[in-house]
Amino acid sequence: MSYGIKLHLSGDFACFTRPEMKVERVSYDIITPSAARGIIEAIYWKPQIRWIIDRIHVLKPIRFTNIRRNEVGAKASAPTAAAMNGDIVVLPGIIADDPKTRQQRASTLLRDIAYVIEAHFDILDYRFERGGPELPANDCAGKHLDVFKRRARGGQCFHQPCLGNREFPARFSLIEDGDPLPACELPPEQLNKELGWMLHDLSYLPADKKAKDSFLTGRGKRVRTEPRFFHAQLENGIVTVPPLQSATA
Amino acid sequence: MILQSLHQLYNRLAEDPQNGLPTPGYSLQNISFCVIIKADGSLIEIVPCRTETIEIGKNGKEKKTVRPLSLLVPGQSKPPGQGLNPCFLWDNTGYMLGFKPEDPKKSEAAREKERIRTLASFDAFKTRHLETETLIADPHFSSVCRFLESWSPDQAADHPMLQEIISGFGVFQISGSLKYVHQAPAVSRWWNEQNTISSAGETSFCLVTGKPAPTAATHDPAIKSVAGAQSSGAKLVSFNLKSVESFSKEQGDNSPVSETAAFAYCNALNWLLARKERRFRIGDATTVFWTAAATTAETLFPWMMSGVPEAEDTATKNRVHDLLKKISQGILGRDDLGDPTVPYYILGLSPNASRLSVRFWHTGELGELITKLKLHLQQLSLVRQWDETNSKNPEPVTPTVYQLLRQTSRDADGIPPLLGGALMRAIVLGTPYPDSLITAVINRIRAEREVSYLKVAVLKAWLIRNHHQLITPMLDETNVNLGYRLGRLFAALEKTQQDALPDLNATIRERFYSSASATPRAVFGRLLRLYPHHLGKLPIGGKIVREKLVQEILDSVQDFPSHLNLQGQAQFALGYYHQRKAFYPTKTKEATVA
Repeated sequence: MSYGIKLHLSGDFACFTRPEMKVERVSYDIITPSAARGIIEAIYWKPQIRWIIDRIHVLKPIRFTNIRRNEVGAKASAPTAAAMNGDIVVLPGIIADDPKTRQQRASTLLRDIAYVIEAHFDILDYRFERGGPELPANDCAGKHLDVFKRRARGGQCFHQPCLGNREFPARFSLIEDGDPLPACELPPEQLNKELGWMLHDLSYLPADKKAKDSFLTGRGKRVRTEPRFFHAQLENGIVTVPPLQSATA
Repeated sequence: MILQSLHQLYNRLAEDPQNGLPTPGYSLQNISFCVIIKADGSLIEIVPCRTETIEIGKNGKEKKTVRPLSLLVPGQSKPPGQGLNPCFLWDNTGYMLGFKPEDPKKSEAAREKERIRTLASFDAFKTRHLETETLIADPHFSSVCRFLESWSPDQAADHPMLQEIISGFGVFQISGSLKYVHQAPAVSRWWNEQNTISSAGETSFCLVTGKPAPTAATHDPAIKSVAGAQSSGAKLVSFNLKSVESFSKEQGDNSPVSETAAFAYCNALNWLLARKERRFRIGDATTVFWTAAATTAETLFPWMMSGVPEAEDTATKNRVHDLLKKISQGILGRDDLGDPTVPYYILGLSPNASRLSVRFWHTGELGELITKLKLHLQQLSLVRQWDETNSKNPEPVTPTVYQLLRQTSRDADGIPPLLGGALMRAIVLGTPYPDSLITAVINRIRAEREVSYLKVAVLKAWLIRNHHQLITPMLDETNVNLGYRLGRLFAALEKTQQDALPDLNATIRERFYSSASATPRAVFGRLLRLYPHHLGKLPIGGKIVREKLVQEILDSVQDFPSHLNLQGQAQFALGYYHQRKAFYPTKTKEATVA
């Protein structure tokens, strides 16, 4: 049985920010695997499953546009974040219209995008890892797969999935098994294209206090992140995503 | 993408030492003076180092420009900050000689404070060099150390030359030696060793080269010569705000780029920006162009887009014009601009405080770019109001991007900043022209009441590309578009008025153009009532010809619409321009023969 799904994504704007140009944002040419994972997880995710992106089909010509947006230069402090979560009542706040905080920055965005994301998930069997009985994998996987498909068909999501930035909502629809894929409208010169090194995803590594970029997770574990990159290449309009383990760190 | 391509460019340029690109550990600095000393360390003189170039200015007169010498010196740009940061064998007058011209506007206390700081900076400079004397063991370097020991900052007053050097850097030279002290073999050998030691350490993946290497905390040197940015340089990649740092990572760790790759791409970009034949302005964006391999297009394309500067010689000007003409006629030879399969890169940068933002970034094959440029020029092509036969300053057959943008605003500063990038994108990618360009041009026509060649050319290109209308460069009598016909009618009515009353100060164009083009029904009734009176004053032959023309134009006009939309107004302007041009035909040789 295959646990794979195909999801059709589209939107008017998208900004998959390159890490090297994330101040005055410049987008990657196509959606990154981590952004695609985020969209799928917005539809359905449980701690027991881990989504893995297999292939990205690019359906629309890669086009850029340029806008200026008002952004902020400061981060919300820990008390502000706590207040936003409803943990405390007093809101110290971050005043977005404060001229010291407010910043106008340029962004180079993608226009009018559409992708088909092929993905599957792995079952994480924590109990088995700790010496318990092994889960009957297929049953369990079938359940998650059906939940995902039902939710995607109905347009349900935990939060509105977005294309890189919250300002750019993603439209999605499930492509049923056996259904044809939407037509690819890429011009011939973009069908096969070298996209260079692209962010795959972050891997979280245990760290000690000495590592200066370490931080505490919600569960109180001390970790640090390491970005992993892969060599993205459009072949006939499709980017094949290698497993995260094989991506270069 | 951008960084990778610039990195490749650096590798290509660095192969040829003639290009004068800095190697790691060195930077290009503007050196404005040189301290010449004897082998025993005594001072001979302090001389200015400058290059003089003579250019022909706009008024045709020779203009002498004096520029500091651009020299490769050890170390990166002058370290910023409040602390004492002496450079190695080069620095400003404060560090090198303990002398700084005083600012009389400042208070005595502030000047005293500055004086103390200047002396301290000279001490720091001296200490740094004396400490390394034994390690370097070079006679020239030792001479510099002797000089620093014997020099007292009070002596600076004896050198009036120093008063002139307010800013700028200096270097040392030993009398009788052709090279500067920092260029001595033993000195550079020692400096290179220092650099290899300091760069060893933790490595991580570099997203430019894809290889593990030490990550650059900041990307140096800063990018200079972007119009509007800080003159000391701005950064293309920087993380100078809390809100852009992720996962507790600081500075360059947010995007792992190796030190060598950062150095290479920054220098390649600086190299391009420092050359006036490589950079050009599109709106507020400073733009550079290059190709993956050396091509003729690299040096000529910028001028094709922005126009050749006045100061250039006639041969270059003619060459660029000739190429543009060839492109628009589609007769450009396969290799006139270089191999058409070579990838090209266009990068438009605009400043935002100490950062640079990417306005546009286009890549593709050179041949494709030429095809798109051809399409653009063909769609623009229009019969000129002023050409070689009737004017000393003929209008351009192939207008530059800047000339087109200039049509959107009364003065150069008023050009909307985003429009340049959008127009450039439309030209290079062959996509529809921005509608805001047309709105601005139509507004200008209505405000100026002057339907000029360049404005109509823009409208024509827009009608063809965005609305797929068939429009000829010259008057098309078969065109039955309502806006076009009304434009022609308006031109005919105006001409009749001019013929009848040649001494009028304000014709119907000055008074009615904007309302006639926007709300024809409100105006044309009145104009057509006036028309017979004007017609009556014409001689009989002219009367018949004019009446025939007006009847022919009105033939397909059923009704005057209450208003015309943007497209209709563009057609109106075009019809008016064409008809007017047909009233005053250019006398060409072919015409007389026929």
